[in-house]
Amino acid sequence: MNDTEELVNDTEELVNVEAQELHAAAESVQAAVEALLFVASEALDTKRLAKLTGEDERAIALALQALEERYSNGGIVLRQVAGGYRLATSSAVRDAVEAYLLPPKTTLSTPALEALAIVANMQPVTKGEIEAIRGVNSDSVVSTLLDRGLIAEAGRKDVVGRPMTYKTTPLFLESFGLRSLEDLPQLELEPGQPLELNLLLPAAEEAPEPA
Amino acid sequence: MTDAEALRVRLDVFDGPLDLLLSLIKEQQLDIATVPLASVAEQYLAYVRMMEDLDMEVAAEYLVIAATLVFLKSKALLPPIPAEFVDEGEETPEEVEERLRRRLIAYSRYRELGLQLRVRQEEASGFYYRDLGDPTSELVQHYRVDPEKLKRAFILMLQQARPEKREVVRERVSLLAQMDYISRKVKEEGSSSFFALCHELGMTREVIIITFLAILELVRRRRIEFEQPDLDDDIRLLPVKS
Repeated sequence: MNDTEELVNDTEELVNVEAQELHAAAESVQAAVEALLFVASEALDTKRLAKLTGEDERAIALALQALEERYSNGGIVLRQVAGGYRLATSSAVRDAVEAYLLPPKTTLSTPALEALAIVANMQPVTKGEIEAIRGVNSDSVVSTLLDRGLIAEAGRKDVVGRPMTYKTTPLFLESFGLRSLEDLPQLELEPGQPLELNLLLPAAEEAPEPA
Repeated sequence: MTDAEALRVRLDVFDGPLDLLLSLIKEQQLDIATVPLASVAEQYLAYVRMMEDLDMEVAAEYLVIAATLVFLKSKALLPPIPAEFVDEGEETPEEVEERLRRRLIAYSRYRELGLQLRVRQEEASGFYYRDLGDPTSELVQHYRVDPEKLKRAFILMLQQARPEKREVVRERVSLLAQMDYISRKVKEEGSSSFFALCHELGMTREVIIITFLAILELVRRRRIEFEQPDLDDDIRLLPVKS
């Protein structure tokens, strides 16, 4: 073996070692991310995962991608919901899971879904505004949505009577499989016909908020 | 099913006046963007009248829309009001109709959106997340339990319970006091009855027994008279005819 060959071999070996080290590093990031997603009972985003592991976001993104592939046809899946990632059981095995866990009460009445759609699109929104659109008292649907944790109070509006405003919660995004609010089914608005609330309110109902 | 029954069934499913109005328009396959809203006024009012006939509380919201529809209909039938009689800033019928139409369109969109959300929710409901929330934060049943097993566990514990000493304190209703009360009541009010007395005095087992005994005793002593038309009927108590 001459010097040149030796040098080439050494270099290859070095490259190999580096690749192996890189690979090992990637695997350990992947393992940490996997563990975090396993224990978390909320969606974790790339930024938070990066902070928790001390890695950069690029490494986290790669780890997530690898995990997604690894989980692609098992009982566990990686879901992108509520602005982050969560591990969930696959819907393919829901029967077995539901034999153990009680299925959550998912059914919402049409009125409640209507109100939820309004909150999701217009948040922060007051009960009076919801009622203006629905044309009907919405006390009970709003309290149902609050009870289910799908909406939450979002501070008082700075108008006469200081009515409470409402917004959707991360649980809303999770329960509806939405990555973010941008992921909402879109209202088909015709151009030149924006849904301006003040135009929807009849003159007499411009202050519809009971204190 | 009669028409009234059919209407009642339908009324129950309407969620407010806009929902009703929207259904009427859809039912006739009219285009919400162009239909003269006055054209469904008749049907709308028929529903509101039916609600009244059925003694349902007609919410004010229904009446506001009804009034608007009647207004639109009347304007459609009458010649336009000359401009000099229209107050400054008063809405024209066209403007009123346009505003109601936009409300209706907005409502229909959010309704549609709500239905789309339902589909999303159904799709998402097959995925379960680990939930390590504070187990003491609320009493929510997360796991399936077998009621039979719960019952067996409860009975098992109950059987091991130590015997307890307890004193039973009785609130005594005296037979004599009860007799006195009944005979005075019958005398003063001209009549009374076993059922009425029991209800009045609280329907406890003790009251019922004492009252019954008191009546028996009073009848035996001929202090009152009684009538009982049939086996399961109330016992009417009357003063003794002198």
